[in-house]
Amino acid sequence: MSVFDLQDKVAIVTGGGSGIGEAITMAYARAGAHVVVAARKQERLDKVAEAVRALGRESLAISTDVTDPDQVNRLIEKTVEKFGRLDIMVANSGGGGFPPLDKATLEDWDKQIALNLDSAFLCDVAAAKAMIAQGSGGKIINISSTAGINLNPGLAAYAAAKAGVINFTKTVALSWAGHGINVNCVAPGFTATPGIRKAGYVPPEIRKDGTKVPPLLMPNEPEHVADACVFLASEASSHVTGELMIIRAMLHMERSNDVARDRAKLTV
Amino acid sequence: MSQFELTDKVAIVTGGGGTSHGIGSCIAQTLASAGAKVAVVGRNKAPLDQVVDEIKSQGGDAISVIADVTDPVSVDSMVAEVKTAMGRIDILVNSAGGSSFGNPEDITPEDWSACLALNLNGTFYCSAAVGKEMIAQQSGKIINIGSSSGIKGEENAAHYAAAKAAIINLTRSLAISWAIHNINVNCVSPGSVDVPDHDVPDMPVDEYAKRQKLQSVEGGKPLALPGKPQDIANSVVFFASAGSDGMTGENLVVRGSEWASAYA
Repeated sequence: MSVFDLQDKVAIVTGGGSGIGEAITMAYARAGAHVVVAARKQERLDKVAEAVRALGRESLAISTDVTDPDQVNRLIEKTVEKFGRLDIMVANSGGGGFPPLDKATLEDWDKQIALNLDSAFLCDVAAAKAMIAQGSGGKIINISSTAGINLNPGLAAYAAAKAGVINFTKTVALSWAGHGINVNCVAPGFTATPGIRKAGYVPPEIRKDGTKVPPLLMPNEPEHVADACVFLASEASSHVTGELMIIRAMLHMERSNDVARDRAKLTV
Repeated sequence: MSQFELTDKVAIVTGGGGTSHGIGSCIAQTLASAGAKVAVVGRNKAPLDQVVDEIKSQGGDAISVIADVTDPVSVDSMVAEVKTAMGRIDILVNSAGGSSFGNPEDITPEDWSACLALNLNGTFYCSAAVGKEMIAQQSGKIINIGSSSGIKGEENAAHYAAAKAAIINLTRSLAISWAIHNINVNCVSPGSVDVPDHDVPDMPVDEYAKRQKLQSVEGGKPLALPGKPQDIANSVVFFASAGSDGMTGENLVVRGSEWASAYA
């Protein structure tokens, strides 16, 4: 068995019904883990849970609003009830979208902070309590964004929340190190999720002259993010905590103007 | 096949004899057990051959190549030798390095130059020489070994800390320069690593006592203790594998909860 295996580990992936969360869920299942998927839309969760079971791993699909403490606690309880334990928590729920700054209200701001930062706080603390009670450590992975590091015009609240996730990660990593819990952060850059692809934001892979754009200059694939999450959930990273792993495709080097335009479209 | 396997990849590991920290030899062995053919590079033949023998006894494939990474001519001939023996180069791990200890005001210009030559120049010479091969084949993975000293500073080794900081930034420059050639360049930065005392002849008594104390913390949890060479080697395998295809220019610090510093 390799140090990258997650054989029979029990994981929760929030936002697991689509995009990056779905990729993480499937990568975990392929690595041998049982995966509980949580998000708001039950139908999508059921589909992903079915795909996990098709790999011979167990799954639960639990409709959860990760900004609601009671629902997050219930998510952990149901997981422990079914599997007897929790080894891995991936706090991946989140999303952007903010009105122009002169139109934005405190309510808009609060919603973004709740979805992107409160959710990490609630999921991490609830998971850590279960892990501390078990006494055998655990792995917590928070999904931030390069928006939390770089400037991100049009996504002020999202960027602030994602920056908060990075620093929250460092703090709780130290708080729970004595319990053998590793807490790390993954910050994806522009990622070609099915949704982003469908919306037409992914630049063509073939240049006008017929040559292929090198992979590192294309947007990330969701699997790139998922692979880093497998590493951080595995024994291979047992001495890594409080760290930030950035999945940073350098697509600006290939098509900076197009990318800037695509980003602007995303933020409308 | 898992995304973290290295079946039939050819890897160079400098400092692979593990004469100082045992990190290089552990990296060589771990890459080999992940399936890579490994060229173990260093200055002294005996420890290199020992690592090669250990890899072969586990059923792996390895050769030893004697080279001085501070000498660009020696580096070029090392690269040529590996290419002749193994056909190509997919992975370069720049783990040759080391330091003397002392107060900044006591570091002589000779100490300073020697430290930068071993840690920084060696990393650059090997990266440039192997980078040319990787550009020609339009693929490759380079993993530099930095240090948490390169981020937070080091009270007993200012020259080493400066060299390691430079390596972390060299990693970024190589990454943005070579992304177009499909070469990933990343850095793994160890914090304290469990080091057998006899392997570090220059370590001052107080530094040694400090590390001993850290290692013997009553009931200390693993994250609070110094890391093991294996922890560093596992991260190197991650960056050598397809599992990190989406990452370049990054620096992963492997230091457990050893975060207490004014500069992170």
